[in-house]
Amino acid sequence: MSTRKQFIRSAVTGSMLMSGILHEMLASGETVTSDPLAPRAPHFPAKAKRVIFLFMTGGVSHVDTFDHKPRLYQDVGKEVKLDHPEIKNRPGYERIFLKRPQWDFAKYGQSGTEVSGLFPHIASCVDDIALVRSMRTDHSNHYNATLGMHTGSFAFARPSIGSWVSYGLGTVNRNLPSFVTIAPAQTYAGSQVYASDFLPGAHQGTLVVPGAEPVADIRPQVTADQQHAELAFLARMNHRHQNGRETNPNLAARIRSFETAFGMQSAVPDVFDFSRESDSVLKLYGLERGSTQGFAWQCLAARRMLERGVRFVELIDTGSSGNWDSHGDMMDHARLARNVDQPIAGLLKDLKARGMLEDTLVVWTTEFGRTPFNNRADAKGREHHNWAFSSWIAGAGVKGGTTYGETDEYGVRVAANEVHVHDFHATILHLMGLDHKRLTYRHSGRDYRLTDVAGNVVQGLLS
Amino acid sequence: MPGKASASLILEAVRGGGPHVPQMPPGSKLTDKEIAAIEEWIANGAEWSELTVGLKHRTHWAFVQLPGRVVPPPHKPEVSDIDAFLNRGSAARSFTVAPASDRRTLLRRAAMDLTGLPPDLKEIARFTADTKPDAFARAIDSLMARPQYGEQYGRHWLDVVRYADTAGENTDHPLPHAWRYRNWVINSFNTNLPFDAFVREQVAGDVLAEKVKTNLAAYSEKVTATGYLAIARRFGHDIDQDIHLTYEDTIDTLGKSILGLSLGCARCHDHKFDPISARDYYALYGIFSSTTLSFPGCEPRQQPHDLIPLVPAGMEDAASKARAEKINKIDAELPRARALVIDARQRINAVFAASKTSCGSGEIPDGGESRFTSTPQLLSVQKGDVVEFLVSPLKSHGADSTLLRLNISLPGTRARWSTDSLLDALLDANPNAAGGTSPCWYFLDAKDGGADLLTEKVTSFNGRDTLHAWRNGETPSVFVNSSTTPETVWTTLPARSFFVHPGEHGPVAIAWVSPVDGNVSVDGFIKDVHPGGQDGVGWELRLLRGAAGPLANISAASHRLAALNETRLALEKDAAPPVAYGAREGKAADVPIQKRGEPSDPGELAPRGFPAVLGGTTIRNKASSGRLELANWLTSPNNPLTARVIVNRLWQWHFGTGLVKTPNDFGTRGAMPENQPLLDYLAVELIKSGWNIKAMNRRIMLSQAYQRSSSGAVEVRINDSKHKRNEKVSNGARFQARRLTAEELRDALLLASGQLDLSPGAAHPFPPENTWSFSQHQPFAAEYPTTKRSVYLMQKRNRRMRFFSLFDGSDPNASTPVRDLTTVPTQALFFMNDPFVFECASRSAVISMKVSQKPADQIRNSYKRLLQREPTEIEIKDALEFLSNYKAKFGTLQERRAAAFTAFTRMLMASNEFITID
Repeated sequence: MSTRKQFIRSAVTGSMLMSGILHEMLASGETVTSDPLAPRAPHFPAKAKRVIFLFMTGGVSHVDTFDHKPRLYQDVGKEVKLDHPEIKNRPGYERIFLKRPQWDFAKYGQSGTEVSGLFPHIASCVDDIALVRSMRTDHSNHYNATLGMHTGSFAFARPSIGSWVSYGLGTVNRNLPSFVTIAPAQTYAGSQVYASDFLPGAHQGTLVVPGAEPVADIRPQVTADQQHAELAFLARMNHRHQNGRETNPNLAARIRSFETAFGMQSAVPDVFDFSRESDSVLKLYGLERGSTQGFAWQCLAARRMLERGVRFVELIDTGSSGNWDSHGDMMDHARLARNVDQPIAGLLKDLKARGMLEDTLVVWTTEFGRTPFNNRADAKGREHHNWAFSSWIAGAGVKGGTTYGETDEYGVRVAANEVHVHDFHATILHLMGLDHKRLTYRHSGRDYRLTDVAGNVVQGLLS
Repeated sequence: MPGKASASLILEAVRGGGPHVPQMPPGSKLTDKEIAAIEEWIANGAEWSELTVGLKHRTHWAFVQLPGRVVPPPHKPEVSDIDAFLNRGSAARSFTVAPASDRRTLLRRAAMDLTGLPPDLKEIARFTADTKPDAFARAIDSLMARPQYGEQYGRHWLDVVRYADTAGENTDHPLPHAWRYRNWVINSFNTNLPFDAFVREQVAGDVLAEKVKTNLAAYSEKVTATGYLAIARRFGHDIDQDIHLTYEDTIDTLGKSILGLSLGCARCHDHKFDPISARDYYALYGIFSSTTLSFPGCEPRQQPHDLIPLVPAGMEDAASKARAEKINKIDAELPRARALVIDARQRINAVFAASKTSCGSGEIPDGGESRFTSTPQLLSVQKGDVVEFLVSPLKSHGADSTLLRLNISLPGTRARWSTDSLLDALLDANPNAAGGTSPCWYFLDAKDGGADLLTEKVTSFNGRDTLHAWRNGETPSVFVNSSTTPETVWTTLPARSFFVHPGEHGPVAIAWVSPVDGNVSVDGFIKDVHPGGQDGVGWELRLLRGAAGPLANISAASHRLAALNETRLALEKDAAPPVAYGAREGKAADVPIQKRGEPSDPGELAPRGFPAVLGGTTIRNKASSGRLELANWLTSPNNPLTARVIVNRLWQWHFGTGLVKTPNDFGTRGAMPENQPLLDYLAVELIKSGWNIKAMNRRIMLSQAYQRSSSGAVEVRINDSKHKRNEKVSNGARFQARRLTAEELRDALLLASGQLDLSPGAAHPFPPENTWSFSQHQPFAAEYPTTKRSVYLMQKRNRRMRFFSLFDGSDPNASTPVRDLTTVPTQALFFMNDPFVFECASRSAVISMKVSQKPADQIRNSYKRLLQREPTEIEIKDALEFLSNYKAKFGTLQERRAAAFTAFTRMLMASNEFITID
């Protein structure tokens, strides 16, 4: 209650215009009911207070990016026999051959982590990154694998990881949502990847679409004077109505929701107003001043949200078409990498420079990898590969400069220290101070959790 | 290993792990006492689940048979039985019972409850003036007699059965026939179909229909009811591969919706908490795997099949006779119509051959683009001359979608004609007898030097309401993307653009008929927007002297022929019997238990039947799926759950919360009933009444509890000898004020603004099945706006409408037993800034401002229509002040007043009173 009053007071000083209505609201003195977004203590102390989840749609090839397989260059065209889900009973795939990556790898940083020429900027940050080369997922279909990476469920609609974190920790800025997904287009599985499902609706991800109006209904359609008059009139109506109905807490909560909404109208556009960002910051991200498109815009918007207390920001780079799903030609990876490489590196460097990497967790992942082979020795593309792929985390609580796990000589199967999607989720929650086995929600007679009945925290990634 | 504790892996695990197993439970070790108990249990034979748990759970309140009769506590005749149950024990307690609601509040509550729409002020006045004791009973009956009752209560049931208009698999295929089930549910509430029949028909309507084959209406209704089974969610890429998940979803929904039990948990193991064994689960599974569900289509197999005809086989004749006659009549006309087209074609070919002059040509490579101008730069034309632009395939016509901008102008004047003008008027061009208004432009199939009109008009292709086309078959075609954003279909179509696609055997052409005499300048831009084909396209610009007449001729003849063909096709399509998305009997067979829920790991066979703990048996007719026996077992008076579960839902739908607060879970993990004698009494009465839902609604609503005021604190004082304490009265004992649901809110806004269309919804305008090519990259994602009631909006599984997410709509992927009605700031933003609210407010303001010139009367009108009451003097004064102080900046005095009144209306719509039912 006191926090709320404090916030209103600070809003009053900041806005002469609204002082009347805000004083009216302060005077109403309604009691605060249980608030699903109120900040909650983690299960145990943790460094990470917030998350940026970078999701590359379509399946990024691991052997062309973060998992260097020299034998794949030597043995190009060699026939292999595999009982692989993507070739089984598929006409034309009776025989398969190793395919050479089209980019060379080099060692970077003090850690000497190998990264391909697709990501020269991210490569310059490897000492802050813990790279996992032994990811595995359950499904080789975009839809199922994307759903799995976001919800821990490969078939059924379940709450998104962002909703779980919001549910576990709440949020500190009530003028902004706790969980935001910034995506230029819908990825596979549509709105299910940011849905709260059975968790309370307040934990639903708010969709931000890059462009002139990133959040629906945020721009006032009337002048400030007019809105002031409207909200004051509404408050008078609602207070008259409340008379005799004091026991209904929803009426008070709804009156309060209009004050919060009023604050959001300036807080949300403020997030997307980059005019005070310096040229050097824009340059770091590779963002042209005035542009509201591309991954650079998304990354800078994400940093500004985190600064303002948003708990979980997911950035999705592309929609369900025109993405990393390079069946036709792996060279298309170059275009997609260019869109994200400098912005991601810029984000890491910017967070570090501001000291925010100390308490921010950055996650980079995709739904699955791509096959180190194809049905012709000269095939240009690669198919879906769920047996092994690469992902990385950086920032709070993360052991930078590490590589964890490995695949076999061709990058076909995990050879050591497998990290299943459930393990990855358990580790992310752990870094946020949440025990994935204790973060549960009772729904239709059962306690559900993000990691279903599996998941182990990957200790090797922790600092 | 029963009897041998020493060899037990369980004991090894709970003792802290060992060579064979890790420690269980992980983290915390059990106490010695607990371990000893397990040891003893194993030594005694390790009886599990079906016996141990089953015996224990047969005494669980919900699994105990309903008593033959439940006698209400003694009470005065003016007190209802329900109130007598609620008031029981009042000797030991003293109530401060809430007073009865006022008449207006009561009628508004009842109308919102039963129809989802507020009453109008006249109805309230009539009800308030009606002092007869049965006034409320008559009001209830009159509300339940409206079609809107079925829409409201049908919506409740659609929540429970997770109704959706898409399949939910990776591409979210549309279900064009599911609406029949939706409407069947609505009609069943309206006709007050007894609830046992309602359940039986949903589970086994197709089997029941066989007994009423001669009654076509009854037959089709029963078949339609099996949509309950077919709307099960589908999973994955090739949905038959994951059909076991669909059966699980069916069993889970059957359990929750009818029995109030989570049966799905028993797929992988015996249910831990409820007495449902894996054997019980696979006994049900066999029933559904012996059933054929309509196939909705999926990415590898796009077209639906196994749709269920609504007319029994062999009964189609009577209706089809009249259709056959119409078809014969058309067939008689067709030869003449065809001859006219051939004649027109010959004439136009002759004119074209004689009069054409090429004014430029070229080729663009795959993905290439080019600007062009005519040679010479100015073309001298007279009225009726034609400028034609042709685009031809080179090696292949695949991937040849071509963006085209053609500009024609008369230098020195402002006269200008451009394909840009077609972006919003494509379907009005290509003039035809049906009222084309843009006479300049014709779209032609120009193969073999000809000029056949493209006669197939396609609105909203690929399910996008901004994409329109004229075509003959797939190609050749001309089309537009009228949207301000690019649309990705087979390729990305840039925003606000015009396109052509040549045919397999020759060019596509657009022809412009000059309405002027003079020297016109022709230029433009052409671009291959579908790179990745074998080649680009060729283009040519031609001038055709005096070709307008022949063009008009072939246009008229072609459109006439096309119309005849279209009518014929529609008649033929009608001739195919209508179908339901439903279920029919499949190949009857028991299935093995799937160990850990994996179809690849079969165990012993589970004979088809029903859960043992509920007195279930195996099915008798082994040649059938067993659904009819299942349906009869579910609705048998001996089934302890079905009646209890539905009366609890009815109580919840009236009061806001049920007597059992977990309406989908009556198992041992669910909530205990607040007043079991009352619940059992209602269940027994329901069965006694012949499962009469409307009678139960009336009974519940006529209780004093329902009619009490929802405001003010109510306390119950317990005066027993030992303790003196106060406790809150149970939630069920009076109506709980609540927010409008998403549907109620949208309907209320449409109603207030005079937009609500109360006619029932039917099929959604999905693209035709033969055009489907949905993929996980390009899933079905259309939206179909309508001003009909919200229950008729198309509901997608994988892409929910924002409005429904915002206002806590039902989950189309899983049974929604209770709507969580949240209050969040993004909802406030909706009222402050959303265009939909602005439009509704503006329309409502227009209505109120028409009634009088006096602002006070206008305010009164708005209060009456939006809040169903007169405003107080204070409210009128407040509103008048708001209107006079509202500083609208622009426009005439009239416009400024309208802006202020619209703002006032919008705030009424945003008010707590508008969105709350007391």
